[in-house]
Amino acid sequence: MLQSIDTPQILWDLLSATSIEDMNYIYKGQFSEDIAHYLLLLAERNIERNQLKGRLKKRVFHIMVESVQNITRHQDIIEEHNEQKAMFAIQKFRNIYLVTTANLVKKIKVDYLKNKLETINNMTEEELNKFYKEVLMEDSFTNKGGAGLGLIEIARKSGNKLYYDFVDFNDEFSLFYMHTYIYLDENQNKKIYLPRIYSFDFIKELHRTLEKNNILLVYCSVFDQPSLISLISILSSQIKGNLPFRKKIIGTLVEMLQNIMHHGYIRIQDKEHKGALGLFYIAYQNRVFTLNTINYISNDKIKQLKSKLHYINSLSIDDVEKLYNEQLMNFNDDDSPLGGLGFLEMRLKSRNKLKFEIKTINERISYFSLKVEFKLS
Amino acid sequence: MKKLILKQQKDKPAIILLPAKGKFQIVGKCYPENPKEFFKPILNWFEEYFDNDPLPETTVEIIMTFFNTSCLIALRQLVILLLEKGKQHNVKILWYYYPVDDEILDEGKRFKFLLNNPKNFILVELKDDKKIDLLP
Repeated sequence: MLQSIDTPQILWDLLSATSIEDMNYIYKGQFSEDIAHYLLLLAERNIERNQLKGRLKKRVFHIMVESVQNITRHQDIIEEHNEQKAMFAIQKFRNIYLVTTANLVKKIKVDYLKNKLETINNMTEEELNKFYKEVLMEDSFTNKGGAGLGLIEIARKSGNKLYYDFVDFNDEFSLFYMHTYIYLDENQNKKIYLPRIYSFDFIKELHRTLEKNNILLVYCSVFDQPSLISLISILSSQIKGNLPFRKKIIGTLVEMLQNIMHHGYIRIQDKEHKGALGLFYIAYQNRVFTLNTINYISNDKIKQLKSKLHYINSLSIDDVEKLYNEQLMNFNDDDSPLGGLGFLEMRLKSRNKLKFEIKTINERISYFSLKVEFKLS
Repeated sequence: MKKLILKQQKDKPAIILLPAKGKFQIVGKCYPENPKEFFKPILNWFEEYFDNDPLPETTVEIIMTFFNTSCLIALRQLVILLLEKGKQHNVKILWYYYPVDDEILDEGKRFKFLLNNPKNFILVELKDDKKIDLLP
């Protein structure tokens, strides 16, 4: 029997609507300088894979930097709440990059911000450039740290409106959402149809799901070695517990992500790196860390995969250990479709059964979802 | 014998094979895309080294702080090769671990056990260094 795994429906929707050229990357939680750095690296990796050239790459990157900084700047004031609430999402659909941020702001600042955003949104390109210079001069005199400057920059670089929303959080704070996008092809007709997963509303709904399930990060795109390195660097600092516990989780994470990279069915053709499309999220709730990956598999692999997982789950930890040792000494084919020692390692490290689910898509392919849980003792 | 030096990367350990200085080290973290490919030149280098006038004593130091399972399989091959060469040459393998890092110690013990407790495979405790980053 399948172990049931309750991956939120919205994440299935996300993966099923994501094509191999596209990306959805949502991070919720603490924004330190280090984390911002790796978030941007991960996004940069996607930009590179899409062979964005000089000026455009710079523009996209600039918007991302300003958006992350917008969050970190506010964070200082209300660190306590923001730690769990702030979100940074970067999405790519065809030749559009979309950036959405969420962070808490004091209610007394809402009107000021609305005003500023409306002013910016009603300006022509020329007016914006002028306004930018004015605020820049003003800032260097008043030394206020330029919160407004960031917004102007994002508007200038994106060439589009800053969509926003304020949602009540408590008596003192509101949740401030901001959403903008950038067209990579400047000459294109701007009335392109965007699938639902790229809408402002979808991202807000996703943010609420992340909240509800205490999900720290969702990555839905191609898994290759460079993106894996960035993901691991981001998560290393996010996982609580003592060193052995954290190493177990990170070790499992590497196995899970490399499993997608090596065995995922929908793959990229890249000279330098192997890669395949999938989704990963990590959640932390009631002292349990949950790692969940979903990727596409060929239907002819299902039988073998299922029987291997059922077998591993049926063994006691001692027997898994024995099998692991045997395999370690005898394993010679690292192209094995079952991923070598990976599943055994996940079972040993988590000390839990591996939950999995296979959902048929058509006569050729299915989704394979794998969940590993770690209890913080 | 020519030296083999590979710079440490985020997902690859530093390789320092310097017979002129009697230094043979693997240092860092290992979870590359293709460990088999990464280890191939290292295994080849040792084959050639032992075929061509090795030092009277060869001490290989494995100072790893993180690796994935496919890297472990590749390491197994290296250790087996070194133990094999140890039948004709004077070879020592030092497996280093930090006292806070149970995982690396356990993997060292596992190797020792599975390889029938060879005397020249030695577990060595490193001085605890809070500054060293043991996570990838």
